[in-house]
Formats: sequence, structure tokens, C-alpha cells
Amino acid sequence: MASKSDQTPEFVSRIVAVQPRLRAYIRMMVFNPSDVGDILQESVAAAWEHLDSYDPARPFDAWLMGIARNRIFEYQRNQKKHAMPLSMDVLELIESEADDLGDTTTQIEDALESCLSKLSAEDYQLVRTRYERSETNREASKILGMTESTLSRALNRIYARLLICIKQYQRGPEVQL
Amino acid sequence: MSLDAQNSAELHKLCGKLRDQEITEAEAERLNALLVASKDARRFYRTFIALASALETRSATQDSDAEEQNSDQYLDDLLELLHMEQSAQALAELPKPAGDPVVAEQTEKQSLTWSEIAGASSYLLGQAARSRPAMKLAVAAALALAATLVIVLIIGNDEPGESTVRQDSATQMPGVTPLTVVAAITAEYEAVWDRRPGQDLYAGQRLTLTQGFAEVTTARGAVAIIEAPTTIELLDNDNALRLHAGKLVGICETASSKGFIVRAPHMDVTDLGTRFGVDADADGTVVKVFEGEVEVAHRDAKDGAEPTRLLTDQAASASSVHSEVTRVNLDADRFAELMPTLIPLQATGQGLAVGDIDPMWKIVAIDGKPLASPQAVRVNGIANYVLHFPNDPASSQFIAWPSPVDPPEGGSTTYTFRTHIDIPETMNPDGARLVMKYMADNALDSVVVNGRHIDIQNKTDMKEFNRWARSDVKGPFVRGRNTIDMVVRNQWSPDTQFNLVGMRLVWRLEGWTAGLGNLGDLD
Repeated sequence: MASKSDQTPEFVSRIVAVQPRLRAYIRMMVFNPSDVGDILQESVAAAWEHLDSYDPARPFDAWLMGIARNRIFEYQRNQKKHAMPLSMDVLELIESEADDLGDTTTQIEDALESCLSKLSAEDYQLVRTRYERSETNREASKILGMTESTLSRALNRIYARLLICIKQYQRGPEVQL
Repeated sequence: MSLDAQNSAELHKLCGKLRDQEITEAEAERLNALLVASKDARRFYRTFIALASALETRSATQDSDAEEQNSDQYLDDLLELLHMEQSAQALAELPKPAGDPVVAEQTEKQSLTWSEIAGASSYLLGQAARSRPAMKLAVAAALALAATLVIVLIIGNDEPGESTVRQDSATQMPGVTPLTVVAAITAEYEAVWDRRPGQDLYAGQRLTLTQGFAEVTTARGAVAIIEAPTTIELLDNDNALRLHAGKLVGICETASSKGFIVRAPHMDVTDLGTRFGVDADADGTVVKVFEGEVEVAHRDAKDGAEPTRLLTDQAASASSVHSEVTRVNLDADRFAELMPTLIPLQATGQGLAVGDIDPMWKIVAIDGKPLASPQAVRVNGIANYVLHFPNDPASSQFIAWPSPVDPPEGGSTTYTFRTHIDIPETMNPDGARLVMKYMADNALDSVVVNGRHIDIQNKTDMKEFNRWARSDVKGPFVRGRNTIDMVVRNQWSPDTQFNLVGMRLVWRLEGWTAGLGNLGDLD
């Protein structure tokens, strides 16, 4: 059997490939973005620690998601009820149907830059300010000089455009917003 | 349930609130309800959150020199309007999605087409531009329709909308509209029907039970127990039925069955996760909540009238005399014959510490061969191992052959975990069933009730040993002591680092009161 150090490059490349999907998977069940990063790191660390138990005949992604799933539900169990907008029943239901998540994240990855470039200059600036210069809507709204509710509405509108664009991108890359 | 225009817009808004961590308790409750009720809503939620995740991790590739934004509210509104106008024009110009463009509500609601949504968006924005006082309202409406359009785009074209209803392939002949299976008869007791139905029930099918009892389960898992004489009709909806006359008890205990609708004379009853009884004739309907909550609405209610919420032990009636639902007092005994008794059973490892023996269980056989000395099983600490769902001492834990050691027989074979349950004299064992959720390493193969092997629907041949599977088990139960075996199949190889032979089980016994109307087994 190969030593762990021999397996490092392959492990890293697999983690890099699956990371967007893994983060989206965690994000759909963990509502505080800063906790998402913690769980992602813990899951990857646990996978590395227990790499010997990975059966190469099985999909690596599914194995890693299984590890993350345990971390997520353990985290949820320790959350206070008011910090849990979605019930455990609903989370289990959403998770049980998440087979499409890999395709969805791939579509978003493929189309996102193109779709962002089609936003108006104001909207593109708003997205960059919110996601590249700020951690929260509150921070971003101060930078942008708008109320949080206005920012939130604007983000909803931009999300709508991006979702349409991403869907349309699959049919042909030339989409006008 | 597919999403209608109003729900789609609401879903989009609520997902935004969740993304921004600004969702209120009431909004969260509403979002939960929308997600439970619709697979399309859940798919949209996943897509929406995947986009949020992608944006949150997108690295900065260009200088961030955001322009100063004018904070004047009027300019914000105007900017928003302009953006929406562009958006709506673009939306209207987009090609139609492939396949059926209909936003398919499977019930009686009117459908919206792609062009109707896009056209309506443009129209409303045009109205907004012409009428300053109406701008806010029109913008809101246009936003709502645009949101619907987004959801149609995301979910509406690649796959058929609904998950649980299925088209009966046997009926898919040219020129013949395929029948949609929306429910099934899952148990009967001395049942006599006006026309004997098959086990599958189809949208539009009308049935009268003239004698006995029957249990109908919708494709989403809502259970309706009916007592003769009762007439029901299956609707073009996988979680609803019409009660023309008779008595029904609704049981909705799974997330997917929440939202079960009973359309009865003068009243619609919508389950919000509960057990309730409905008694109806042509003159009117009464409903009683045994546990949980339902929403009731008079069929002739004025537009905009709020439905009435009924909580545990509350009841209401509706008739042709009034166009409103009236709260009434109603004795639950009216439905006593239809109400199953639930007996909770001890979950594995519940209340124990890691390493403790679970006195309720023993391994009595390996590969079907009885052990000379039954093997005690212990709460297993390795169940906190990375691949297993973490133990929760308060609710349930993995119990296992004392591992991590390889079992003496080695190899891949079955291990029989045995326990006993007692069925009280007051319960009729005919029609009793075990309602179970479980995990096993590697798989739960079968359940043996008093020596008879019962095949189970979900064998849990799991790879990660961390997902609940669910099955109901009926068998030759008797009053008094019953022996229950769980046959766990284990896979082992010399390379296996830690071999856990274990299972985790949360379960209960359900049955009907002895001497009254008791549901029997279909066998």
C-alpha cells in the first residue's frame, strides 16, 4: 500500500476538484458562512486522517461528502433551535435529494464569470463589494452607502439574473442580460 | 406540489433572507413549509445556495474600486426600476425552454406558461414606468413574476416536475392518456369495495368502501385510514384526496407527507404535520385534531379570508349554512376505531454510555447458525468513527459486536440481533406493525418476527453507514411476548482496518385497539 506522503498529491488534487461542490453541500445546511469554512476544513482533515479507510473502488466525492455529512449533523445538533432556520427534517430531505448538486456547481463554475461579465457595471460592482470586500451585508451596505434592505433586494435581483444566465449558458454561451 | 407563481416569488425572497441571515422565525417557518411541500422548491433552494457559495468563495481577480453609491432612496428605487425593466425585456426575449413550459401545479390550480409570465412581467413594468404612484406595487409584482420565471428556468425543463407520482407505463399507449399513480391501498380489514380496486390508485379514481376498513397511503407518504361507508376520490396530486362522504383519519408523520390535503364537502383540510379525523356527509364536514396542527378553510369563503388553524384537541365544522368555518367541541371517540395505538420501543443504546452492554439485545446466530452462548452487544465507540453517523446517547446509538475486533467467524456473513417486544392484550396483533428507521454496517438484510422472515423495503446496503433507512414491518405478531430478530449482513476482508458489526435502530409498534375495527394485513 502506498504511504500517506505518496498519496498527498492525488489527495490534494481530488480535494481541489471537489471543493466547490463540497462547500455548496455544507452551505445548503449551514447558514453561517464562517461556520461553513470550519466544517469544510474539519471534513478535509478527517478525510486525510482516515485516508487509509477509503476504498478506491468507491467514488471519492461520495466518501468525502459522507464525512462532511456527519460533521454537519453533529454541528446542527449542537446549535440552539433559534439558530436553525430550517428544521432537521427539512435538511435531511434537502440532503437526500442532493444528487444534482455536483452538476449544479459545475454549471455555476462554468458560467459564473461569463454571467458576471454581463451584469451592468453597477451590479457587478455591487457583487464585488459584497463578496470580495465585505464579510457581511452590513459591511457592504456601509461601503456602498445604501441600506441593508436595499442591498438585500438588489442582491435578490442580481441572483435572479445570474440564475437565468447560468441556466441559459448550458444551451449556448451567448446570453444577453 | 409544483410551485405556483405566488409561492415561487415568496421562495426566492425567503432564500434571499436566509442567505443574508435576516430571516425571522415566522419567515423560517414559511420557508420550511414551502420546502417540505415541493421537490421543485428544494431543487431551487439547492441551486440558489450553490450560487451563494460560489460567490462567497470567488477570489478577487481585479481591483475593487467600487464607485460611491448615491444613498438617496428615490434614486435607489429608480435604479432598481431601470434594472428590472432591462431584465424583463431580456426575459421576454429569451427563447422558450425545451419541453413543456407549463408551471405545472398538479391540482386544480390554473397553470402559467412561460410567455404569460414573461409577458406579464413586461406589462407590469410598463405600467410602473407610466404611473409613479403605482411604481412600488408594480415593481414588487414584476419582481415576483421575474422570480417565478427564474424558478421555471431552473427547475422547469430538464426533468418532469414531480418526483413521487409516476405514470403507469402499462397505460402509455398512443392516443391514451397515461394514468398517474398517486396513492396505494396499504392495508385492509374485512374491506368490501363497490368495485374492487387494484393496490395502486390513480388520479381521478373514485372508490366507495362499503364494509370494513382500509388504509390508503399517498405517494408522499400521508396515510388515510377510512371506515365504511366512505367514498373517496383520488386527485391529480400526490398528496391529496377528496372525501365525498364518510370518516377518515389522516396521519402525516414524515416530512414529505406534510401538507396532505383532504377536500371534503364545504371544507378543505390541510395538514401541517399531525394526526386528525374528518367526518363528512353532503351537508357538511367536521374535523378534529388529535395531535399537531391543521389548517381548515371553507370552500365558499370570501376571497382573502384567512384559513383557520386548529391545534391539538381543537375541532371545527363547515356546512352550507355559513360561508365560514365554525369552531366546535367534538369528542375524539368519534374516531376511536380508526386511531392506531402507538407503543414506543427502546432505541438501541438509548441512554447508555459507550462500552455499556445494551441489555435489550443479543447476537444469537452467525450465518444463521445459533451461537451456543448468545453474545452481548455493546454501545460502540467506533460509531463516532468518521464514516458512521455520530452517536447520540439521548436518542439512539450503534450497538455492535464488541469491536474493533474481527468477529470470530470472519468473512462476510450475517449476524442475528435478537430482542423481545410485548404486545398488550388491548391491541389486536392482526395488522400491528413495526415502524422503524435504522442504519446498519453493512446492511439490514431482513427482520424475523416470531420465526418468520420478513423482507424489508430498504436493506440499507450503505457505504457510509450514516443514512437512516425506513421500513414498516408486518408479521405474525401475537399478544404477549414476541421475538424479533434483525439480520445484519456484514462484509469483511483481511484489509479491513476496523470491522464494525452493528446496527442502530429507532422504532415503535403500531396497532389497533382489540375488539374494534382492526386493520388486517394484506397477506
